[in-house]
Amino acid sequence: MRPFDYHRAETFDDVTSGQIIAGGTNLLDLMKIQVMTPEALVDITRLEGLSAIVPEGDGLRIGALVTNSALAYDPLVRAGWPLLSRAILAGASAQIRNKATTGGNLLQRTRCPYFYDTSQPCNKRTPGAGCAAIGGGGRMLALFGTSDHCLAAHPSDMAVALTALGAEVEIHGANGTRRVPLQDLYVPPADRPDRETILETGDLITAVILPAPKSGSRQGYRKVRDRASYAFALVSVAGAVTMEGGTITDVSLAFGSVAPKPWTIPEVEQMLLGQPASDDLFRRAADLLAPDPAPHPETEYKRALLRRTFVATMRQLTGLADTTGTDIARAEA
Amino acid sequence: MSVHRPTPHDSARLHVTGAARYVDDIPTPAGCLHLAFGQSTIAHGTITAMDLTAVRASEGVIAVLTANDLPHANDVSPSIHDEPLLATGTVHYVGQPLFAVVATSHTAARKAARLAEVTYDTKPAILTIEEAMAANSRFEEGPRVYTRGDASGAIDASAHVIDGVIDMGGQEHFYLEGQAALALPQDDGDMVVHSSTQHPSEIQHKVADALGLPMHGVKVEVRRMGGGFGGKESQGNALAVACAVAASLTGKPCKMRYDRDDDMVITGKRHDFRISYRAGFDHAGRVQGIEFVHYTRCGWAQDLSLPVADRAMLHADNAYFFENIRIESHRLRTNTQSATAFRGFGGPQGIVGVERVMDQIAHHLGLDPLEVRKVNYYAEMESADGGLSAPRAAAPLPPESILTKKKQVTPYGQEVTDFVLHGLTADLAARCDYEARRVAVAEWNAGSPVLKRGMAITPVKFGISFTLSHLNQAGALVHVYQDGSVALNHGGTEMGQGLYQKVAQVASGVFGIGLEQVRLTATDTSKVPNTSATAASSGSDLNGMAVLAACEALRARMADHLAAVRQGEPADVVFEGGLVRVGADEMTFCAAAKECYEGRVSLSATGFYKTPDISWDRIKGNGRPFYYFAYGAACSEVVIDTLTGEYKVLRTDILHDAGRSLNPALDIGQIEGGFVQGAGWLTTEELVWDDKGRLRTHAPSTYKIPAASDRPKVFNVALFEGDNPEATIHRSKAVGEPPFCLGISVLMALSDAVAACGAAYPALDAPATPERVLKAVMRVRGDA
Repeated sequence: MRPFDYHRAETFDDVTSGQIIAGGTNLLDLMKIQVMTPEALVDITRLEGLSAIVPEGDGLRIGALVTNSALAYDPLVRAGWPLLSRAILAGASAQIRNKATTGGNLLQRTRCPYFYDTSQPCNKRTPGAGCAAIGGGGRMLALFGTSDHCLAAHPSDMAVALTALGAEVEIHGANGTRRVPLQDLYVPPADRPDRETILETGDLITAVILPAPKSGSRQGYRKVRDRASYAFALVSVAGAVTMEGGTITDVSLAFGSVAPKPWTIPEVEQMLLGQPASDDLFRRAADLLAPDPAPHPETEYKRALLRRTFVATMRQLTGLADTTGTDIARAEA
Repeated sequence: MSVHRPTPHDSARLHVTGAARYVDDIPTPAGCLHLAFGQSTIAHGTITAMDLTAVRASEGVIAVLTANDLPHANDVSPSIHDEPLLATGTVHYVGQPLFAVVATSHTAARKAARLAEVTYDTKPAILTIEEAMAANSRFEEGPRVYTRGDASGAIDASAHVIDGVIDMGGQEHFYLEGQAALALPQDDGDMVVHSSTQHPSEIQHKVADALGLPMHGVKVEVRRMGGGFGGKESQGNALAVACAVAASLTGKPCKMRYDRDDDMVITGKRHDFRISYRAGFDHAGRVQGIEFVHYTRCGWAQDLSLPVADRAMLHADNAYFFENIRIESHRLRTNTQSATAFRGFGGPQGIVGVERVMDQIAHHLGLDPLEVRKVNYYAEMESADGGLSAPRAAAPLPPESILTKKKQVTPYGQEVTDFVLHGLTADLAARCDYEARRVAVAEWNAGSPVLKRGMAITPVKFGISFTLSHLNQAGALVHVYQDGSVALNHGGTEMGQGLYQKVAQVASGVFGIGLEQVRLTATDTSKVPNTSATAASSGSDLNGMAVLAACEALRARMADHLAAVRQGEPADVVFEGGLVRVGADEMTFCAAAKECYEGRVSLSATGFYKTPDISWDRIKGNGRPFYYFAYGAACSEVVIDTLTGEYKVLRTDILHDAGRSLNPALDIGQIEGGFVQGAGWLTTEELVWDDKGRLRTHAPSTYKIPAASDRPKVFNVALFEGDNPEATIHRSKAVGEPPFCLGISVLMALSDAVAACGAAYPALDAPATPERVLKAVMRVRGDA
C-alpha cells in the first residue's frame, strides 16, 4: 500500500476532493495491491442522514451508508422487496456485508483477474495500456455491452436486484441533488473503460430509491457459481413477475455477471408480457438472451448457462415449477 | 491422565485471536532483507541471454543472484539432485526460479524481479500424458508393474467384463500460510533458519550443502505452520536455501515469502492421474481379475514422485481382495511444476481408480454399489481371542461365504490381519439409515425432473508407515526442571493437526501431571537430530512413542532416587494427579523434581522409537510396507441441478477408525477437514494449464477450495472405537491422511445422481465441476 492522506468529513461541505471511502471492502483490497493508489482518502462514514431506511410514499429510501447486512435484514425490505434481501445474502460473507455499504456496492470494481494483476496491461486500470483479457483467460468475463477495449463484467449481486426492482440513485453534486435510474448510473466501456459511471468530481451517492413493489408480484434471485458461498456469480438472474389467471401481467428482469453493469433486455420482457406462462414461451424468450458468438471464447458456456438459468427462474416465478423441487439452494437432506 | 480425552488444541486460543506466530510474524533484526524469484515465462527451452540491468537498478535492490553466484551446491531436490535452486541454462516449466532478487522490502524485490529481459531458445514442451508417453518422457527406466495371478486370463474367463478410464486432477495445497523462510547469520558463518516446513532436517541438510557447512553449522527451527498438507515436505527448500545463501553473502538477515500467485505457480501440487482399467466379474459383482494402468504427470523434477506413484499402486486394491491383479504405473516427466507430496501421497488416486471400478460394476449389473463393494471386501480374520473386531462395537458377522480362515494377502504380499470394514460398514449403514434412504432417493428422483439426488458409501483402508522403511524412526528430548515444569521436544512439526497437544498428553500421563505443567517447544534440529518429515500420517505414532520412551526413562530415574532415599521399591512409586507417592510419603511432582535435582539426578533424557516389523522391496513390490491399516467409511448424499450442473452435499455420515483415539476432539477435526479437502479435490478444485504450460488457475479467484457453506448440511462424524491391535502409542491409529479418502463418497454420490438421468454409465471424471456434471448429465441422456 502507498502512503495516503486521510480526511474524515464531518459535513457535506467538508467532503474534500479525494477518493471517497465508506466500507472500504473493495477499495482497501485494491489499495493493498496497488491497483488503486489514491493520494487522499475522504471518509464519509460520519456524514449524518445517510444510514437510514425510511418509507418514501409506498416505496423506500435507502441511505447510501446503510450496510448490506442492515439492508438485507430490514423487515420492510424482506416484506416488500425480498428479491433484494436474497441477492445481498447471496454475495460475499457476513463479515464483509457488515462493513459494505449500499453506495459502495454500486461502485465496486470488476473482478477481472487482469485488472488485479499490475504486471498485465488493463485499459480500466491504465487507459490505453491494452487489454490482457482479449486473447487471455476469461471465464468470468462479460457477454453483453463489452467494447474492443474491455470485456470485464460488473460483479455485484445487489445492483442486479435493484435494477430488476426499478431503483433510482440519488446523487448529491455541486448543482444540488438529482435522481437517475440505476441503469443510467453506468456508462458503457467504449474506449474509456476506466470511466465507469456518470459521477463527476464532487458527486456523492446519497441514497437509493425503490419504487413501490408491484402488488402480488413474485420475486426471485438465482445465482449460479462454482461453489455454494463466497464466490462471484457466473451468471445471475433477478426477476419480479405478476400473474393473473396464468397470464404474465407484469415482468421485470435483470441479469448479473454478464455485462459491465446489471443488464436488462427489454425485448425479453416484451415477449413475456400478456402471455400465458409456458415452457415453450420461456425457451423462445431465452433465445433472445445470448449474443452469438460470445465476445471471448471462454465465456461461450455462459450463453447456455444464462438461458437455462433464465428458464429455471421463470418457471419458479410463474409457478410452473414447485420451488422446493427445482431450487438446489433449498434442497434439504 | 489426559490421554484419550478431547482436550482443545494447545494453540487454539492463539490461532483464533491471531496471536499465534508464523515465520512472517517473527520480529526480525534491523536491516532484514527480502527476497523474490525471477521466474521463467516459458515451459521449456534454453536461456540465450538474461539481462538483469533493470533489475539491479530498481529501487531498493541490494543484490541479484544467479546460478553463477551460488558459492556451493545449487540444488533443492529432496531426492536425486535434479532440481537446481536457480536455473542453469535450461528451463523446465513456467514459473521456474531463474534468479533471486535481494532488496530492502518484499514489494521492492517482487517489482524488480519482473524487470529482467530474458531471451530463450524455446523448445517444444511436454505437457500432457499423451505427449509424455509419445516421447517416452519418464522417471525410471520404464513402468513399474506389480502382479499377482493371471489378471488377463481371469478377466477373459469372466461372465462380465467392463473397461474404462478415469481422469483425476491434481490439487493445490492451499495452506493458509504460504511458503516462508527467514535466515539469520550467526558467528563464524553458521546459520539459523526459521522455515515453514514439515521437514526441518531436510532444510538443514540442503542449507548446509548450499553454504558448504557441516550439518552442525545450521540450525532450523519450526514452531508451527499454517497448514502443510504435504506441500511443505520439500517445497520449502528453495526459500530456505535462497535466504541462507543471501544472508551468508550479505551478512544480513534475509526473509522470503511467496505471494499466493507465486506460490501456486512455483510450487508442486498433488499428482494428477489417469487410470485405465479392465475388470472381469461374476453375477454378484465379485471380481475375478482386474488390471489397472496408472499414468501420472510428475512434472519436471523427480521430487517425491516415485514413492507417491508407489503408494498409488499399493492402494489400487483399497479394501478389496483381488486374487488376480496387475497394476502398471507410468511416472511421466512433464514441463510443469514438480508434483509433490499431498495428504494421501498417491493413495487417494489409487483408491479412486478401484472405487470407480466398483461403481461401474454395480451400474453394469444393476446392483447397489455397496453390495458390490461388500462382496469384494477382504475377509475379517479370526484370531485366538475370538476375532479382532470382537472388542469393538457389536457388529453383525459377515456372511459365511466371506468369513474364511484363509489368509488374505494384499497384491504386494502383506497379510491383512486387522480388517474391520465388515462391521464398520454395517454400523455406518445402520447409523445413516442407508437402505431406506436409497429407496427414498429413488422415489424422489422419479418425481423430480430437474433436481436429482444420489447416494454412495465408500470405504477406505489406508496403509500406515513411510514406504521408505528407514524413515520410520523418531527422537525426543525431555527436560524436567527443578520447579516441576516439563519441556518436551521432538522431531515432529506442528501444522495445525494437534501433534503437540497429543504428545503433551502422552507426557502428562507418564508424570501424572496436568497439561499446564508440560510445554512443547518449537521443533529444532539442534535438539533432536536426523528427523523424518512430519508426513505419512506418522507424526503421533512416531513422536508420541519417542516422547513416551524419554519420559519413562526420566520417571524411572526419579522413582529410583525417591525410593532409595525412603528405602522403598522404585516399582512402588506412583505418579498421579500431580502428586508423587512413595510408600506413605506424598509430595507434589514439583517437590519431587526439586528433591531429585538436589539429589543430583539427571533430569534430561532422550527417547527413540523405530517402527517394528516392517520391510519393503519396492522394485519387486513385495513385503510388509505398512505397520497396520487405518479404516473408515463415509456415506454422502448429494443433489444435482440438471439445468446448470450445480450440486450440493446434503448429508454425510462418517465412521472412522482412529484406534483408541489419543484425542477424540482433534481426531474428529482431522476427519472433518480431511473429508472436506478430499471432496474439494474431487469436485470444485480445478487446475487448468493452457497449451503454453501456464497454470491459469493460480489464485482463489479461479481456483475454488470448498468454503464453509460447501460442507455437508448434515455432517455426522463418529469414531469407530477400539484398540489398534498393533502396539502403537496407547493403541491409537494415525488419522492424518486416511479420512481424506472419504471425500470419494461425494464423487460416487454425484455419479449416482447423474446415473438417475439416463441409461448410460456417467463415467464422471474428477474434479467433477458443475461443468463436468452437466456434461455427464447430457451424456447419459444421449444429448451430448
